[in-house]
Amino acid sequence: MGEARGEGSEDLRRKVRRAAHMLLLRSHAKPGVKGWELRRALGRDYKVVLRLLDEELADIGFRIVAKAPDGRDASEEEYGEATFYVTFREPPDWPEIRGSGWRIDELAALAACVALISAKGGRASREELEDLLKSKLPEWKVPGILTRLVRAGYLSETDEGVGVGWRTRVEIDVEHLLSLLLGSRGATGAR
Amino acid sequence: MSRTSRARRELFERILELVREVFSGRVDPFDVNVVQLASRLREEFPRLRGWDEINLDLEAMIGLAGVVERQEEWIEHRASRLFVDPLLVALKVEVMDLKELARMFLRAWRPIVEARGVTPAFLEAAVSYWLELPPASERGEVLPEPRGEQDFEPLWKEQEFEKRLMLEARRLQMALDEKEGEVSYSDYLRGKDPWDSAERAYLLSFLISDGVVSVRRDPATGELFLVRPRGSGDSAGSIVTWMDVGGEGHG
Repeated sequence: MGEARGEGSEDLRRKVRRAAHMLLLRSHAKPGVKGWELRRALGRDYKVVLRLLDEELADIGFRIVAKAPDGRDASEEEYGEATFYVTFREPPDWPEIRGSGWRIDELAALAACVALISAKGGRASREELEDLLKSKLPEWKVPGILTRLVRAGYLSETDEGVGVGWRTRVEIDVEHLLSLLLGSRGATGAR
Repeated sequence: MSRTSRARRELFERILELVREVFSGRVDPFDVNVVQLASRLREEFPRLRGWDEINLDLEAMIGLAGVVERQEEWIEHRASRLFVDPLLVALKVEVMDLKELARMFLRAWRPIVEARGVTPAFLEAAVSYWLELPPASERGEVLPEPRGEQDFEPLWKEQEFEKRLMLEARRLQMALDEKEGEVSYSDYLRGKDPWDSAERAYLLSFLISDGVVSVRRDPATGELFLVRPRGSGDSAGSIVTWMDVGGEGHG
């Protein structure tokens, strides 16, 4: 009986490793793995496997997040249709990000765009965003930065204007961002 | 086309234009008097002539329904916890320093973690790159072999890197002071050998990312210059370029 329990535990360990590989190694154009893919690969106890993996990842500062198709945090009942990602558990420090390819002015532009779009109810025109960014950045840089943010999935552009993209819904705590922005003194670095 | 028919067509076009403006976010949905426009469409409905006019009337009516939907979304948003006056947001962004804004953003950001492996899409991109790559003989001299045993080792340990970065920042400030705030990018990078130039370019990329220095391109000649960040607007940037560090020219 003890042997059987040992085998069961080893089976679970193997599934946790497999889940880690699936979630960390990008195999589609976009990162993230669908709940039904995880269920197919890990079996019916995939929720237990994901919980165990999340505990393991916590030790190294990562976490698993599940997002419903509309960008909300998915409940357990919605896991089948949800997409799972591994993200930082806590926000990073600037030195950790410095080598990641994002420049400080791009992050500032992203903050400004996400805040304005959210304040406008989820959509703003490209002109409005460009005007806002031109107040902070050289004019020639603005279209390039917006294009990069759209390509990375932080913003999504349609004929109806610019909204937040799938990556913003996964990575950014918009409510917290707005409260930080409104709570900031704002003029500390103003020139 | 009769005068009444032309007036009708203008009404449809005006409504459709207004709907487009609302959908693109340029016009507040509550600035549209939906009731009045719907009444006008209703008055015109019995006088419609031909399928063209019926189609336009239908499109205008669907558009007005869309505007009502936007009004509903707007009310839902106002009632939500996320409601903040957009003007206040724009004002806050305008008065904040870029670095302050970026650092505030970091506190609300949890980036996705992912490892990149070889996927079919990656292989496809690699094959297309390989096919388009000109032969090495046409691309000029390649960099010399790496020095010593630093192949896959980090160039510097963290403390050494920070020290070098600080020294490079100081050297850059001196160069900017000497040249009245503007130094040619290629002149600045030209070191005693190609590796020295490469190290300098590497450190410079961090100084640009950190907003210590900015880059200006002369629109007439295309030449790049390192300049002091002017105001908050120019506090960071980056540049990708190539230069022949062993020879005379640069591109």
